[in-house]
Amino acid sequence: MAHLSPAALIDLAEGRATAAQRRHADACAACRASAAELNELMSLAATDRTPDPSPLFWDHLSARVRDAVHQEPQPKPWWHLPVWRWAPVPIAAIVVVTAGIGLLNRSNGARPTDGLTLTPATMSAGLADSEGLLAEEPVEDGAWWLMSQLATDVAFDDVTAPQLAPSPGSADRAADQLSDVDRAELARLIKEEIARPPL
Amino acid sequence: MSSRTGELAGNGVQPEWTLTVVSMTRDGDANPVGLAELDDRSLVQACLGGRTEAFDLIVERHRRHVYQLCRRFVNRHEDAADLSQDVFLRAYRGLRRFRADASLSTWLYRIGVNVCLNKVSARVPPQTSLDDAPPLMAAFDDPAGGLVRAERATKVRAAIGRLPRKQRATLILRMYHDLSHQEIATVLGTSVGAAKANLFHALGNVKKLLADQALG
Repeated sequence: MAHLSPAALIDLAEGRATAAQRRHADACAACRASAAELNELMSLAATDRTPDPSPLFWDHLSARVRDAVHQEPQPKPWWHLPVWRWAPVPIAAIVVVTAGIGLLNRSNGARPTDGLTLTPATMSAGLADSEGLLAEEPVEDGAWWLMSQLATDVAFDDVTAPQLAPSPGSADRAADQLSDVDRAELARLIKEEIARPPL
Repeated sequence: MSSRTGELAGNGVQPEWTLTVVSMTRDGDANPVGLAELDDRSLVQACLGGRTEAFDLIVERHRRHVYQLCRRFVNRHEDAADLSQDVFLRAYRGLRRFRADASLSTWLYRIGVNVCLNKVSARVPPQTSLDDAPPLMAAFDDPAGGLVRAERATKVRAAIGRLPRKQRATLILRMYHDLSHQEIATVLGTSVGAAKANLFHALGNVKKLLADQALG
């Protein structure tokens, strides 16, 4: 049988034990003896009373504290403190909230390729659109605008140099997602490109 | 604030005027309630609002408990007086950190325990002067029993002075200040279970130290 924990024995000695703890104590002589001993030690400790100082001491202490307090600067609530003491907290909060709203907008905003079916017409329209995007700002989608701005001066070689090239198989996966018409059009474009004499 | 409209004594004439007494603060604001009637939290607010005299009342209300706590830790009146002053000064400096949902006395106990534990080094045995011995008059009431009790109290105090810091603080707060286990846990920044376990071990160590004294 597991004995009562130290905390439970204190509860038992102080008469605050739960019913389950009391039932255990009724059946366990060791726990009963421990609680009785704790009770006896508490009574023993209680016999030592703190000596009271002279009644005159209290006013003397108050006067000492008052004198010491008068040497101190006046305590003020936090909003009365210099701005540099508390301003970082709200500024940090504003930055976090702004960043959070920005991220939320980016994740909720429509992706540039949503609903786009790749046909020669849409491809050329898309190219025209992207040229337009690059040429004129601002645009509604901030994320897309940022990416297009960043990509403006990036050459293909610059992208492949830091190993940012598409991962193996991504072209195959993209081709799988094309419709039959798109796939036929892609095949025609590739054949046309291959048949073109080198520059 | 007192507002009194009444019948003038003796002549039965009903006055047409009303006497209203409104005390003014240093800032010139009307203060319908005297500082003495404010609770601890309102006194803290008043103090933060520039009324330093509110802190005098805080000291007056809590000085006995703070002094007795310090006295338990250092056993010397002069040291306890110095520590008490230190506790109140630290409280004044940190008044704006006092949370309105907390109890001021618990907060002061917390400061007091920290100040005392910093002061009392485990390596320095607690000092006891003749003045700090239990009163001899107790012995004269019942010479045999009184002396035995006085001697026992001295031994108990010495044993408590040798306890590890947290056990000592827990035993003092529970036995001599009657704080609940929850309050002790708040003061010491621990859990209720740990506070009870600390008390259990503190009492066990007191028993062991008393037995060592008896043998020595």
